[in-house]
Amino acid sequence: MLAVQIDKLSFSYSDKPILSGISVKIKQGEFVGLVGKTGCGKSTLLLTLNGIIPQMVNGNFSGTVLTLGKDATKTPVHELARSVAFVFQDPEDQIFSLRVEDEVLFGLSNIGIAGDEAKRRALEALRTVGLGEHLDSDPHTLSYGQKQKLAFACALAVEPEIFVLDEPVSNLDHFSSDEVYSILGKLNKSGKTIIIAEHDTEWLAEYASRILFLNNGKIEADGGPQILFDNKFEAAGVKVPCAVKISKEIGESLLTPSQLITRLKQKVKLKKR
Amino acid sequence: MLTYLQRNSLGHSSDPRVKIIWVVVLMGIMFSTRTIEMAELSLIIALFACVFSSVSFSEVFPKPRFLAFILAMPFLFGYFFVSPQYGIINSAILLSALTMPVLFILTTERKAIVAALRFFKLPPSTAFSLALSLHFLPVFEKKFDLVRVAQSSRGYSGKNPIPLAVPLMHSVLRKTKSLSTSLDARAFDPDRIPMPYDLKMKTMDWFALLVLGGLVLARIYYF
Ligand SMILES: Nc1ncnc2c1ncn2[C@@H]1O[C@H](COP(=O)(O)OP(=O)(O)OP(=O)(O)O)[C@@H](O)[C@H]1O
Ligand SMILES: [Mg+2]
Repeated sequence: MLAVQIDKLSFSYSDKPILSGISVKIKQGEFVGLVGKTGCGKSTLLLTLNGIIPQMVNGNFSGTVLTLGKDATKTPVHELARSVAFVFQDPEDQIFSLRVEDEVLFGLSNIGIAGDEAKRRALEALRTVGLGEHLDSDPHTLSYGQKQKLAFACALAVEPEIFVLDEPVSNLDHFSSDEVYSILGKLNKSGKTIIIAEHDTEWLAEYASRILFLNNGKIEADGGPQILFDNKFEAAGVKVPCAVKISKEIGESLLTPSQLITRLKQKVKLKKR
Repeated sequence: MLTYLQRNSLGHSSDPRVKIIWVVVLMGIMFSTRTIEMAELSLIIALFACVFSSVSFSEVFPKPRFLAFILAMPFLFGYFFVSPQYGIINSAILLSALTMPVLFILTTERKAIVAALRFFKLPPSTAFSLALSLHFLPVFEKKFDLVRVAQSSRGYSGKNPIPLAVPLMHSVLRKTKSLSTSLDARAFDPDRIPMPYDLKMKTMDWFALLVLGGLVLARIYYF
């Protein structure tokens, strides 16, 4: 079964078309990075995956979206929430509990998981993101980055098939972003589908198996991370990984800093000889 | 969205003071009279107000579901505790009464609101913050949508308002705090804001007041 199957999807909030005729298939176990300049409709596209659009947001919608074989335009959002977990950009939009643990338990109780099983999952998820010591803290006293990790833990605890993340690390420091992505990398290895919107492609170059480039309401490029070498990305306002820029200069096609360093070392050795 | 719409209409060009008087007096009349005639009259007035402001009904109430929710309460209350007719009167009056302040916000610029409020001898800082909070209504409307989307994505579908109310409240408080800090940081003093808006009563405004006076008299002697 496909994780996501989108066919001829068009959407506009008012007159201005945001998505115009998008068709794309995402297999289970893919790690997809959705890139494009700010305001191009990344968040809008993500919101169709669990039925928020068109079920809860007004606008002109046409086309079909199947998420794990279910019609996302009709299946109730709270039912899709069992298999599709979202992490939004601003964790403060969702935090309301008085205890960190309760915040995670809320999402679990919504999908019918309670008792010891819920507690076990909450603890495990909070430990995974490094908030294991904060079960009893008031979430509102956490730092912004910690809140972002809490929102991520809420998604982890649901143990969904598909993770959808909308710029989940835009407010995290480098170290925490690395943590989040390496957790995503592990989840992906264990077979989970990851779909993530970013306008900074630094992490995607390393982790994503596929890049979708959204521009003018269409998927203008679709392929492995090496497509980031195409000049059109920078021209369209996408931040290209630093390693890509440098390796272009030296006539190589390397995506990550570590690949680049290895290659540079080889070059230096060659010269010395 | 609940924010000023730039247009050319009678409603837009009337004096903001007259509009405030209209809204306040009319809401008073509407809420103090629960008869079928008043319900009809207020619906007609609301309709005319929309036409005069060239604002469509869907612009006044862009979220039909939310509106239905608001109207359902007084309807059910009237229906079960008094009579079915009373339920209808209740929601018709509420609908028209809600239309008026919304139209006011849709047709009046912020600086006109500040100027009018200051004319009614509100302290400058109060006038300013009132107008500013009107300005922020759409921001919170948007925030409310974001919160709703975030919670629904977590499987929330219940009737419990806490998961929606708490994040929204926190956001309001945070916004207020950061706004006041940033205003302070720029040495803002509401007492020194100039009044750039020229308040001028036109013939049409006097006429509007006359009509309102007629409505008040009608309320006293007929309803
Ligand atoms: N609720 C809404 N109502 C009306 N217009 C909207 C709404 N949400 C988004 N838009 C508009 O739709 C367009 C796409 O927005 P979207 O949030 O999907 O972009 P994005 O690619 O996620 O941008 P960013 O990188 O800044 O998050 C923008 O022009 C935005 O102004
Ligand atoms: Mg976005």
